[in-house]
Amino acid sequence: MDLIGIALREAWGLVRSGDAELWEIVALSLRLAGWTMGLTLLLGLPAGLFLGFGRFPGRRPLLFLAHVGMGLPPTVVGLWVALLFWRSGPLGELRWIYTPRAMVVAEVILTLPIVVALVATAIESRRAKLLPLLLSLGATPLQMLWLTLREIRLSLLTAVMAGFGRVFSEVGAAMMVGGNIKGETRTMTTAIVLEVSKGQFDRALALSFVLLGVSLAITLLLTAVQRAGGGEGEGGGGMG
Amino acid sequence: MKADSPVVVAEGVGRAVRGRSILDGIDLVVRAGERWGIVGPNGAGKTTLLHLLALLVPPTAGRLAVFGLPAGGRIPVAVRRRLSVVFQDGRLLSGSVLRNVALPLRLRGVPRREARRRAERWLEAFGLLALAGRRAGSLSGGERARLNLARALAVEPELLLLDEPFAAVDASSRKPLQTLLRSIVEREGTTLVLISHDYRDLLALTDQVLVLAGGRAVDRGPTAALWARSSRVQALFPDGFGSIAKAGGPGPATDAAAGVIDEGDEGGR
Repeated sequence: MDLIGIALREAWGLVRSGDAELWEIVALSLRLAGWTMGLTLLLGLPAGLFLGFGRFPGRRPLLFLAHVGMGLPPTVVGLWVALLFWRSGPLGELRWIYTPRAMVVAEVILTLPIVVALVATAIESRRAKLLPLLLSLGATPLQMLWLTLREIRLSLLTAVMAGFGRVFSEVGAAMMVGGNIKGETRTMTTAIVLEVSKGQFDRALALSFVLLGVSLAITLLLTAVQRAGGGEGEGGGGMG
Repeated sequence: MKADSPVVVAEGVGRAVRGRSILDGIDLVVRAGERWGIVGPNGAGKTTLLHLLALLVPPTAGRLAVFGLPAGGRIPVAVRRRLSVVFQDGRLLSGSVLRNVALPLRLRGVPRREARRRAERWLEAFGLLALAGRRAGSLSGGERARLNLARALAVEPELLLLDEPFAAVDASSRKPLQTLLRSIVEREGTTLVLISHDYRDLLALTDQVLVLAGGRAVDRGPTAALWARSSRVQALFPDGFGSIAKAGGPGPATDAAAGVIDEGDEGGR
């Protein structure tokens, strides 16, 4: 209990003193999460829409793959991405290994299936009733797309929250492709692992409290957005 | 649309899903301003016929034209916008009651303020103006039914397709709602196709009735006269106008015997 008390005080001290190293780590973690989620949404939203709306051979296996991908082990992804960007690897010439770029690639691979699967499932569960309704209301294809996204917005936010959660909590891939280099690729999770390996449990715990605080703040922000957006589809009776 | 010009022309129309027949050999001509009722036991294909007329699903047999446009190919939005549908399950969009009525107007390019004004007028007509700001999902079954009608009518459709619009409306509100709907469709000259499990709805709102059973049209005629002469129709309502037989019913075969998929099944695909 003493250790936790000391760690809590140290965490507060780190935050209050504006510890440069800490804020550098927090900033990189946030930047990493931002880039990852931006790219994931850019790729995952169209893919999820395509899988949710589309009716084509191979759709079910692809959806199954997306569901399987939700549980991809970060260490395995990290290993494959590291091999890809390794100096002698197929993309070695890019010199991305041990850079935030390689970390973003690994994190996108980890979060993409989450967004694709959640968006596709949200659409699939509503399309049978939503599409005829939107057609009957006289929506153009573009209007239908926009209205569908609006109707599934809570599921979208859930996907974003789940993606953020994964990026923030993930350590295996970040460590393998980022290398935990101080000031360059050190994130909150990799910093915690480092402090533990050095036996600095109080500092590791302090960092863990900061990480929890940041995660909580992001979750609260997204939940507030979710509540402000009102209710999603109400199911059987409709989507209202 | 010119009076008496055909709005719907169906010649031998059928619909099958995965090789199973839901509708077969339907002939029907609905002219502008006519008010048709469709009646039949559960699984007779009523909802599927309505979805065909709404250009939501293509026929798999026969020829169907709505507003002169053959169904089955690409349907221009402009044609879809000439008709309105009220679905059996009273589907609503998320957001407020007002949004639900204003949205189809906004989709048609009506400016926001004008759409709001028109939506409020329709909500007032259906006694929902006080609920305009409420979340649509929080409405009762009866309020939901009125909202669906208000939304369908707000775009002033030439063809109005209603699938059990009064199913959730209590007995005391049913008659005033029928009267209101009748006065609107008469005033606007709206062509109406109404499915109901209550023959009183058909008597109040329609002039012609098509009877379906086992996916086929088994009888048709003027609404009141059909009730008087058709043992099929009377058999559908053994306990009076408002209580349709739950299973079987008239016709050459029951739905189960004919291997007919319940029309609700198709909607889930």
